[in-house]
Amino acid sequence: MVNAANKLYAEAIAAHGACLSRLARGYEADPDRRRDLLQEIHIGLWRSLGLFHGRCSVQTWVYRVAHNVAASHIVRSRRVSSRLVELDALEEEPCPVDGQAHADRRHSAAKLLEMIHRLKPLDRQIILLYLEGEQAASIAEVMGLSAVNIATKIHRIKKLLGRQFQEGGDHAGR
Amino acid sequence: MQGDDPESRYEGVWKAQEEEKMQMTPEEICRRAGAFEKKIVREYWLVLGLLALFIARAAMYVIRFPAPLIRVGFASGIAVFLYIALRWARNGPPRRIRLAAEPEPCARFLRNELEGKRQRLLEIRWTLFLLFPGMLASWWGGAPVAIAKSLGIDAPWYTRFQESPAPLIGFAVLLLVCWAGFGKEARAIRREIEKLGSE
Repeated sequence: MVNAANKLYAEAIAAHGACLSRLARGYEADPDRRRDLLQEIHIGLWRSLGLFHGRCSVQTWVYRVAHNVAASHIVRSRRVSSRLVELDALEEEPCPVDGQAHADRRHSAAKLLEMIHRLKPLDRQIILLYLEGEQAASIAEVMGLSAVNIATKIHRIKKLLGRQFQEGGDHAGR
Repeated sequence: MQGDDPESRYEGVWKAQEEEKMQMTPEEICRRAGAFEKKIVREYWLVLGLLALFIARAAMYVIRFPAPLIRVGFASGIAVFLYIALRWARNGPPRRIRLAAEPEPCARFLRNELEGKRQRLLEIRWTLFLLFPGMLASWWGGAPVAIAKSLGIDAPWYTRFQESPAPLIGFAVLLLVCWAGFGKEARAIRREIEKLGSE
């Protein structure tokens, strides 16, 4: 049983390890606390996989555990209701036009992270899964929300990202 | 999915981030998980130990000072600390990594986490309120001065200060600020939960 869980864990990490690292980055800006969070996610995943019976895909399982551990991290840190905002609030903000600065991919990633760190947990979970290339149906399964609801959120996320990257210089992916 | 369209561009930027390696063998994870749980258990017992110290101290004052109001005040404090200790002990060491048969969908998990936090805030607020009657009774009975004298502090200015309503008013203001702060936070969390409900 333990060996099966270990094997499953090794497979899950081989397939999704990089995604977990990015996910931790999306939840915690402070490098030390981010390392702790990533460790907590790995421990949570390793412990949970002993209970995996294949009722959902390994990917959905991994995402749920990781996002739940990370959401718990945010809720504990008293940041949910104080400084974090919803997508609407970011949509309403004027976008700074700084074409030159956006020429660098690393800078673009930093801008993206800065935007993500300001979002409330639910919106943050959706945008992080969207950036991992997940489709609305898959995100809906992880989140336990309707696909229509997720599709609406994704539409707004796309608009927001468009503003961040195009008004800001249109060099993000180069 | 990588191409020239904007969507793959954001995804490309996101995925191009340098990966922070966290390569641990299952044995290493098992060891860390064990250490993590032990730390939580240590913290749990530390809180119980501190509560026991408070209770012992208050019990000592009940025995040492014969004034009825002082005794009532500290007895009331003991009752509140016992209530906190029993609630703390009943829940057992908190498990930061909770396991269910299957991980909950994220939206439901988040709602439960927020509701748990709201309940804890309201509980702390109520417990703080319970401390006030005991504080009032012991102050009325002259506990601050009696305690100071038993510790060998008998400076006239200090005695005058302890006899004045200032310490009690200060404590009451502190309680009110905490009460309002916890209440505001709990209401904000309730609004969050209501928004999640409408998702």
